[in-house]
Amino acid sequence: MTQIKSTSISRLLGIERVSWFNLILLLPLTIFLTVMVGYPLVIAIFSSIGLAHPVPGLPDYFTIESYQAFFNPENPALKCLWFTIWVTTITATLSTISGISMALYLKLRDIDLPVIISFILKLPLFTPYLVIAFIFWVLLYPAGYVVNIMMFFQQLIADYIVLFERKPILVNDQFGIAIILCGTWMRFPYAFIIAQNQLAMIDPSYEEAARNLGASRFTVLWKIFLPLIKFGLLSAALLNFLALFIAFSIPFVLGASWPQFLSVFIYVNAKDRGDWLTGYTTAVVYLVIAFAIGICYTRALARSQTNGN
Amino acid sequence: MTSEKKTKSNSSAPNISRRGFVTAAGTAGLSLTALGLVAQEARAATLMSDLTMAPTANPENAYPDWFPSWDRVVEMAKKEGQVQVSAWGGADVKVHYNKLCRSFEKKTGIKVKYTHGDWFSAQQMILGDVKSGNPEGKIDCVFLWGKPFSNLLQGNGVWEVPILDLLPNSRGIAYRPELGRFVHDMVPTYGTFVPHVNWQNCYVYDKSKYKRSDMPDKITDVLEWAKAHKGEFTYCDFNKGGSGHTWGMNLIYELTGGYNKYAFKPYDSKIADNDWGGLWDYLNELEEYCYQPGTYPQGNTAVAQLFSAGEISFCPNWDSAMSGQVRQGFLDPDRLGMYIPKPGIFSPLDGFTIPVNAPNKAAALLFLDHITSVESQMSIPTTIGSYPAVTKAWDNLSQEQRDQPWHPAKDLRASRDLGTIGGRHAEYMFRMMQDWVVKVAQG
Repeated sequence: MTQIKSTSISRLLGIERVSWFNLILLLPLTIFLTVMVGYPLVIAIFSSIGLAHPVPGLPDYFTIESYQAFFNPENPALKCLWFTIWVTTITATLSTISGISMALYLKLRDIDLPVIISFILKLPLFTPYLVIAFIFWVLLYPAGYVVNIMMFFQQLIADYIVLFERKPILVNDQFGIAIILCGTWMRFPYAFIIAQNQLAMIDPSYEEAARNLGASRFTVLWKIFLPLIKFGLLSAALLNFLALFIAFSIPFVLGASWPQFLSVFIYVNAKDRGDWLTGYTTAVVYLVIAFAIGICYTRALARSQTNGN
Repeated sequence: MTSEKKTKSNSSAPNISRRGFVTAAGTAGLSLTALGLVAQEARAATLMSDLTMAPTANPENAYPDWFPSWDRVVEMAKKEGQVQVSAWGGADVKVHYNKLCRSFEKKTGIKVKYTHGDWFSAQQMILGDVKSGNPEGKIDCVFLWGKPFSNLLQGNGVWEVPILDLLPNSRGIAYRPELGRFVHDMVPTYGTFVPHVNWQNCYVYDKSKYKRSDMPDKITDVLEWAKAHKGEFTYCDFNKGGSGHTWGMNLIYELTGGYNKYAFKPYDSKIADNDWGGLWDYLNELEEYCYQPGTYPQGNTAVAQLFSAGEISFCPNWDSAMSGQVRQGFLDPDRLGMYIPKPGIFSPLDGFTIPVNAPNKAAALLFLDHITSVESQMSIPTTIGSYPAVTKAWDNLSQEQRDQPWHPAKDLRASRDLGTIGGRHAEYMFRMMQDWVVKVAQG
């Protein structure tokens, strides 16, 4: 079969020897990515600087005014970006830590979960984000079960301590409490599964050797397990961060009027107000950050696999 | 000889033969019948006290070849054989349109392809087709509110033919400029828009706690009420629900210079920049006395649910949102009190337009005429819980149906067609929604 000499194509595709046959096989995917990802991306970038006009209302001249407006601290866009990063970081951290902790606990205690418990733990994997968001809204809104239970306990201990004078605001709040809680529950299984698989790949003789030498459970955890799965953990954390960073349903249902998640900010500007310029500009900034995190994730994953091998 | 006969006959009037008598009597009878018809038509064309007139059918010969009569539209619609309708809304709205589609199919034999989607997708589909030059779209008539109608109009997506004036049933639509006949949210319609449903934003209060006389009479009296009843009032995020921004628009009218300052006037950003301080001060002060200050329910339904759960006692909300709560069993109807404060909460009449590239325009016209009929319009209050565009449909309801608690005005003709009415101003409203985030929600 005819080999293509260009080494740059080989490097790009990660294939040692590139043949025309391989390229033909990759053609449908390439066309799909170009049409469905590349073209909209280019349109979004060009629209944000006035060089494309897929919708009415965009400037018909080259301009970077919208980017200047976006990064002006006086304007809401930058505040939305910080809020999104802040809430996403907390949620990714909580979900990753809780997933990993569960996996480590099961590993150290050598527990095999019953199928039904395992299914319940992984339930968020099979549940649509929008459905979960509404379930959390019903649970956390002021007349919901969680708040009612909290107020019930408050009444029980009212003579001793006052935790809440009024019903606590757990949903549509300015701190993103409901987004964090819902996001943590949704992303917890991903970290759990990744950590569980990473731990399963560790040669059991390491742990046995350490134990024979008198290492405690904590030492085994700290000196053996965590160093061996650290890149897996990093990739899990980045994956969770990325998934929440670009999420829409959860912040849309559970978020507050202010501050807004960046995805909701785009939606409100583009759809409700018809301000497509702000929408496109925010989308480009969003994509740049998401791509940067995506690259970090890919690298962490590659390191994790190298480590595993 | 002939002239003699003529002269004779003219001069001898009393000498009428039997045959002549029959002819004369027949002629007289026909003339009287014709006079009767004329009188009947004249009655039909009489201007009613509510400023409406029944349609007067012109004879077929009044229509030149280049202009279709309604009969010709019906004929063409049947040839097209189908109509693609796109609308949006809650479960009740879907039931309403399904009902209308079925009755249309039964009546005309024309098949309806109904899509219950969202206005944004429909708008984008039409604009996308127009931009790509696709001459045959996938939507024949589309249900819209003010903003997408404006977007479609500006994006050359609307079939610029005065369809409203072609529909025989359209004369029944309330004859007020702001109610979609001439402007929709102050966007000129040029007859291309057929109003269908009048969502009414109201003040909602808990009848089990308060009497009507305890509640604020004027729209701006909310602040005083909220001060006296801390934590019992809220309104929804201006960007997440129409009940919030519709109420806000009316506050602008009342607090920043009056309705006439804005109505039928072009948008002037300086007014928003310089004159709205009073509005933001009002809303910021109100926030301190609202339910969970600083937190705004994320939509009409969220506000309605808080009301149903007894968390709040007072809020602005749509008639349809509150009727939904009662119908679904979340809200005891005895608790639901609704009224329109003075001078009113000017609410929109959403409706349909025909896209420029609609492939079945005649069928679309026939469908729009069908849903504007009195019978079809009667489904709006009974199924959706809002007011019909055609006031006679309201008049035809039973007393029990009109007395439902989610209908604030029992005499629609007096309150809407002949009462104080106004419209929202889309451009100012969107500016208000944008500024509200910075001036109020951010704190």
